[in-house]
Amino acid sequence: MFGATTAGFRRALGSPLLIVAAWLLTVIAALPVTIVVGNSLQQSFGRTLSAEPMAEGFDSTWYGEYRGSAKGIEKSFDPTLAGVGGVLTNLEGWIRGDAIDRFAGLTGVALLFVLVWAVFIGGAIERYAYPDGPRGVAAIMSAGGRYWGRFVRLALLSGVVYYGVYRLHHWVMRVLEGRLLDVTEETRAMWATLTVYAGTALILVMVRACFDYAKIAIVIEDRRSALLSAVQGMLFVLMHPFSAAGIVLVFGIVAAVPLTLYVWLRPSLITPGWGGLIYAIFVGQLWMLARITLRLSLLGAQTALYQSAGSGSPPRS
Amino acid sequence: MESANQTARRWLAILFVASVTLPIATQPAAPVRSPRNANYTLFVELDPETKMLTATQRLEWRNIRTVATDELWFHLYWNGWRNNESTWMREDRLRGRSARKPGKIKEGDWSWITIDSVHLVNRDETKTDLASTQTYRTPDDDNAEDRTVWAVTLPDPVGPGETATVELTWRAKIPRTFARTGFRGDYFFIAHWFPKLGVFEGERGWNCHQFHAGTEFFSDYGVYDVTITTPSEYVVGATGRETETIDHGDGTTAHRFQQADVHGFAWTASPDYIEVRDRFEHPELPAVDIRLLIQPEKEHQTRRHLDATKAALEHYGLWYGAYPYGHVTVIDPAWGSGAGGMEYPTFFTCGSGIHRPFGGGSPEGVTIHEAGHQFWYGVVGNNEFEYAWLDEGLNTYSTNRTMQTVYGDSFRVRRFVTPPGGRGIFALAFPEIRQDPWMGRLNRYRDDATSDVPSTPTFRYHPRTGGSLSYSKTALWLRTLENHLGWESFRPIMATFYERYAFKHPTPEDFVRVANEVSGQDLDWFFDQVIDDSVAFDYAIDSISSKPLGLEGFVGDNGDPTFVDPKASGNEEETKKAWRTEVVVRRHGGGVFPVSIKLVFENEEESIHEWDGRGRWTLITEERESKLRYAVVDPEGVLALDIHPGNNSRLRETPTKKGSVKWAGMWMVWVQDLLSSWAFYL
Repeated sequence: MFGATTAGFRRALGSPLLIVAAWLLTVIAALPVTIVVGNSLQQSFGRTLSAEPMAEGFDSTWYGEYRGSAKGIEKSFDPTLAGVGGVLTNLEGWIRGDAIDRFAGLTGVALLFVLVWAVFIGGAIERYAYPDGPRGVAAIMSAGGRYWGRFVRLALLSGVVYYGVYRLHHWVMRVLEGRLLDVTEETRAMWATLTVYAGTALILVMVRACFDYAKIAIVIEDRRSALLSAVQGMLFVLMHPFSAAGIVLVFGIVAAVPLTLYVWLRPSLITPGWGGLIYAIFVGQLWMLARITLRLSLLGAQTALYQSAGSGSPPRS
Repeated sequence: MESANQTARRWLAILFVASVTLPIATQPAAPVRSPRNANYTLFVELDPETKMLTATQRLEWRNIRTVATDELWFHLYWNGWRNNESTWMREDRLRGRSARKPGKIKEGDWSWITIDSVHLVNRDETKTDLASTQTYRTPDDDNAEDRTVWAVTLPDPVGPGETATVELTWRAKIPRTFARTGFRGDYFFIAHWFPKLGVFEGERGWNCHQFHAGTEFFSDYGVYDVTITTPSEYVVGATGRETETIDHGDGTTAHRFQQADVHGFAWTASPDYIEVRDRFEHPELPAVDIRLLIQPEKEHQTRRHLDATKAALEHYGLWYGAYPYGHVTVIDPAWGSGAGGMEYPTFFTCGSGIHRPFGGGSPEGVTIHEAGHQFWYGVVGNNEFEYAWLDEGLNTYSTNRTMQTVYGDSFRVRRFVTPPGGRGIFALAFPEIRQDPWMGRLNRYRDDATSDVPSTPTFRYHPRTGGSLSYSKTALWLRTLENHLGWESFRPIMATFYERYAFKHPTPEDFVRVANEVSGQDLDWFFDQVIDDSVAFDYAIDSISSKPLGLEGFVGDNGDPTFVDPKASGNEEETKKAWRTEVVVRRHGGGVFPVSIKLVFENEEESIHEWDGRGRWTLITEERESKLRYAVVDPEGVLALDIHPGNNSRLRETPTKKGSVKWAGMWMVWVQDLLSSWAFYL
């Protein structure tokens, strides 16, 4: 497990352009909606006396009115999503399965991103599986294109499973509501809720691990059936439960480091000069790079584990 | 063998007889501040297992009007949660935010109150059974399913100055919390719980409205002597001071509370409360004993609750008049109990959570608000059914003012970890994002600005708009009036209203009269708009421009006019040394208010123009050596009611895009992170 973990970091960091490409993908996907929101903000306060306080800090008076009249994607603008507030909001949305409901204006962008990500991830797995294989954008795109259809089918399958997980989560929360009906201590409610959150997160992560190994199996073994690949992924996790879970656990712990740093380096929302503004955006992008690095390192570690466990056919020449 | 109920009732009867025959020697001597025309003696026993109250009640009512009546009308509030067709439940559905949806309410969650006996006590202490005369009344909506107003007919009218004494025995099923009242586990909060008289208004008859989802209460002042029996391990808090505690030795204890000059009585019982005592002292104000009952898990907030209570006692006391009772009980309700923040005479709740960063406004805001209600509601006892804004609005205004004075603007928080049926537990603080409380009120008011006329009886408001009008609109127009008159002129209005109507039932007309009298101005033009109308206020800078001064076109009075072209004459640079500035100000709303318009020029010169605000628009023209930088209408923010302050200013040129770049850039990081979260599913 530790060998696979270090191999994962080695493989991911050995292909820094892949990390940058993944980061660029998020930038490119987010940029159009950011421009829309930026223009909306500019139109709203750009020629009013709120322009200065918004440049140097925040004007709650302006925001109250803006929020009241916001439409579509504008509704998701909230100053408390800046910095770690946004990360924690996304984390809770992921566990509760309401990230899509809560930010419906971004669903189209998200779907598009996921489809492009499906291309990228195929190329990334091939790169990590065969570090000495062909390099370059063309090689990644070619590999990604080869597996894209299978990954999309796998995504549809995993969507059904994730839907089931969230239905289960909501059912457990309803049961919990009944159990908490006569509880008078918030602390007990907090621990009960955190326990459900942890349970849901664990299930999500393990389901995800199954589908990660399914993707790896598709690439390494050139499997064509999404269903059989999913079965293979699940079997792999069942046959190597400690290693599969251990890798996820290690990465979960490692992820706490950049998150803590992000909290610690949290840029102030008071930005009298351009320096503060640049720093705020820079730290945010640094967080995204760290998150993506971890994501790809995990994938590299899982690929290494899959290969070291002797699953699948030997590497292609 | 007697049942537990029978034993309790026998015991209650003994105590009852003892209490009415014993002189009220144990009651603290207090100056008579109110008419004391509705006096209650109650013995109530709480059964935590069956969630039942069993009580005997003696009421002495004195007719302080000039007209006789042969009826007594009572509120039976808990019947509002008797079934899904009560008026309260019907209106709650219209609000569309009820957490207690019919179909999901179990048998043990509903409540009811039933009168087992009712007798008139004659002068010779003989009793006349009134049971055959009892009827339910529905003065507001003829809802046959509503049982929240109950009346009995007396054999003889009660004339002016005469007193009627009535004895009742009754039982009530405690609800799982509705409207802050009820039980959760072994926590009980018992409010508007006993058969309570309406207010007899002479020729107008009884003012005794049905229980409505969007309104509160109205009662006469009196003396309350209430003995509450609970299991001995329970800590009991209530209106008034605890004057006697009797351990029955059978696992139950009786707690006797007494309070004069109040118009209601509420109590709470829980084995979990931690009791803290403190004392408010100030050189210019009477001392007040504070009793705080706090949940163990929130003991770390003890000092914050006490400080906020003292802040209210101090500032309301210095601004309006002293708190007269000498003691107050502060309740931190149990989690999930729904008790939130609510006022009762000399007793209030101030709900919060275990994680509330200092500076975020909670629990200080709610504690100050409910403590403040001891002045506006407790001492000045307006009719909350018909003009709830008179106490809620005056108090919200005062809360904001106190909060700003003591704590400054609160910062925003974002909450995480949300248990089912609850609010986010952990609060992430954003100290850089401060929110002016008046703007918070404006945000709540804006959408309902034209929805209802405040002078409409509150219980007739649309159930969803009551909050924005009673709390927010009133607070905003009071703030506007303060800004308009100046604090030194405005404060005496509030202080006079407080002093003149302490322990009385003032009406909106009384407030208007005091405001006109004390300010020495006829303010009807203002009150006509904010109380008797639903107009919105919205002034805006519509357009601004600075153009080179100089004629262009044909000029001259004699003969043929001469054509002037500054470009052709070579005077173009010369004309740019002088500029004509034009500013168009518009009134988008129906509300009229005098406003100032401030013009700031690029050479830092400023000018102020006054506009009576009556027209739909006005044009301001100035000729100066400098171009205009910006124009702003109502630069000092006097008109706190302006629903769109964002259009109050206009810059001639966009200075920088830094603000939009900054906030869009930060928002973009969140979108990237969100997209990465979505990528998880692939």
